[in-house]
Amino acid sequence: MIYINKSVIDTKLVQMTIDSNSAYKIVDDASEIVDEKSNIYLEDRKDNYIRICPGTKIYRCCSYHNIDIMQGCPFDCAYCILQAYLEHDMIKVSTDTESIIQHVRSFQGNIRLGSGELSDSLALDNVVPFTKIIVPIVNELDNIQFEFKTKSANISNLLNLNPKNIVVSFSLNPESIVSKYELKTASVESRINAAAELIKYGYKVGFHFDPVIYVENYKELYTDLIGNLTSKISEDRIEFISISTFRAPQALLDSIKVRSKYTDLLNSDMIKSPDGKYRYYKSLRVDMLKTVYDSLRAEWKDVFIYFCMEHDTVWESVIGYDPGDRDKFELLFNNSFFT
Amino acid sequence: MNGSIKWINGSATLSPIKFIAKIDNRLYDLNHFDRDDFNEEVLELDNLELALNLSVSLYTPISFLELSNIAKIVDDNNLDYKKVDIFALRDIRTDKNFNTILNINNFPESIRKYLTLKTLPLKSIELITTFSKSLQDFLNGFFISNISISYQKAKIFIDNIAIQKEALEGVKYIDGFEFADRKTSTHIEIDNALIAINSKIFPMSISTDDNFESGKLKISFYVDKVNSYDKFIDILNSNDKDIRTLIEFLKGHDLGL
Repeated sequence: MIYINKSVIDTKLVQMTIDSNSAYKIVDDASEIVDEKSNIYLEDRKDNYIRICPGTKIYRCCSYHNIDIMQGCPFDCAYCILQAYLEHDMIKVSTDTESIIQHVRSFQGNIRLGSGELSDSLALDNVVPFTKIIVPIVNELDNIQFEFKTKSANISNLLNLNPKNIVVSFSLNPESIVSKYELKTASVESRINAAAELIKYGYKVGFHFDPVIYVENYKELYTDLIGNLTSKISEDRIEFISISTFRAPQALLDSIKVRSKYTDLLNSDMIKSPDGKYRYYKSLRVDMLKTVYDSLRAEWKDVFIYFCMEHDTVWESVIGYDPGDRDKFELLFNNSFFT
Repeated sequence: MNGSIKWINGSATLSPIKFIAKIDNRLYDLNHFDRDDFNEEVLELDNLELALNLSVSLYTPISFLELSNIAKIVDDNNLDYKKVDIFALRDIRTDKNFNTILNINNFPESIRKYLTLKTLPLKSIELITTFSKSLQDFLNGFFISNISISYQKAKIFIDNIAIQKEALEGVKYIDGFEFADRKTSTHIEIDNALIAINSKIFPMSISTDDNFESGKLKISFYVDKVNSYDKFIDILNSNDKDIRTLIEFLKGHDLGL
């Protein structure tokens, strides 16, 4: 059910939501709404919507920026950090798109932005069509690359928007992992098909092998997945690919244990890292990353592949170079897109 | 006495005065809990929450099992737990946490007994509430044999049950049970290599501060009256080949050295 704060009824995003023919109810505030994932609240929140990804000094990070227009996700991934990070289950959507647009326009240098950090960028786009607002704005700008990151195949709004600096990226995992741990998401086949469809409409696409999950036969599973992907997608339309293994702060581990169904996610060789997060033991992690990286590289020789929050020694072991600190790392993206 | 709020576990410690609360013409023993051999002091109170606050204030410390007894009184009498001070004092501020505490009374006997002896983190107790009857019985079996175990070890045991619950469902606890090692064979091999080299170079030691995350190996020793610097140089020289072999071995396992 969609709930709309009465003070934002006249905003553009709310009007577009109403036009999508979804049932809705006007409320005074969030206290009138049952706090569950099936409820969407279009609210009057005004805060810093655009933030640089927090990152850490110990592990290599880029200068990606997040737009937190939506907080919460209809999907129910067992490993999702939001279950530990957000204090609510309902999906809260800021309707203050004017401020977001103003902020996006204010950037001077080349910036990569995305809306898939505190939510799935496209899961609800048929109901709350943020794409229709932001894509035309990004199309006017030369220094912004905007990424929609998703585990859905919900791309219909994007097909008539003539993209310029837009990347649509899909998180990928083997289907057996998707069906076990990525509840309510689209099948991996649907995601790959959606990527292929978007390419026909002029989009660049990206793929995130994140999190790569340890299961006994991970080599076989990820190699098969990549075989399927590379047979259906043309390398020259891929903007980037990220790879990273499952990692979790203590709060997420606690949450996974209490949620009971998914505790086998933790039944593997995990250690506490210097940034406080738990990761797979390094030699195992490197082996998992190499499996994915080498399988991709065997088919796609030139696509830009990076690791999210990995140690420079892991980069050296797998790819043979260290991307350097944030600014230097970011140039690797800039070189691939803005030139 | 025509009302009861006996929450204390076992016998009450007796004080010279027996305090009785009178609420709406019902009398509640606050500390002696139905023993009649002391002078009585009757206090007129407005509600049962106040009576509980007063009663609890006469005793310290209070175990989780006793906290659960108090929660049951609150629940049975439709009281507001937020008005019973002990819950806030023990950081029980949400319905979820209150229900976790309330649930302790349903745990098997040895788990309850352990909770009268040691203070587990609330998160561990919450985990126990998510366990099936079979898993709670397994944990109960562990506490029957290990009732004095430290709370840190108990917490690890409970975590391990949670992580390996699929495999443990229906399993009966047997003394000496150990969880399957989650370390990979490579990890175990690396640990063993470090143990082996350290036995050769004592009192020097080779270790990692961060599970090799930063790709560093630490070689440490203390120079003092007993252990001269020359002694360590000798140890290093006489074990040079083994130390180099270890470093090569670690490099071969992608630890970033």
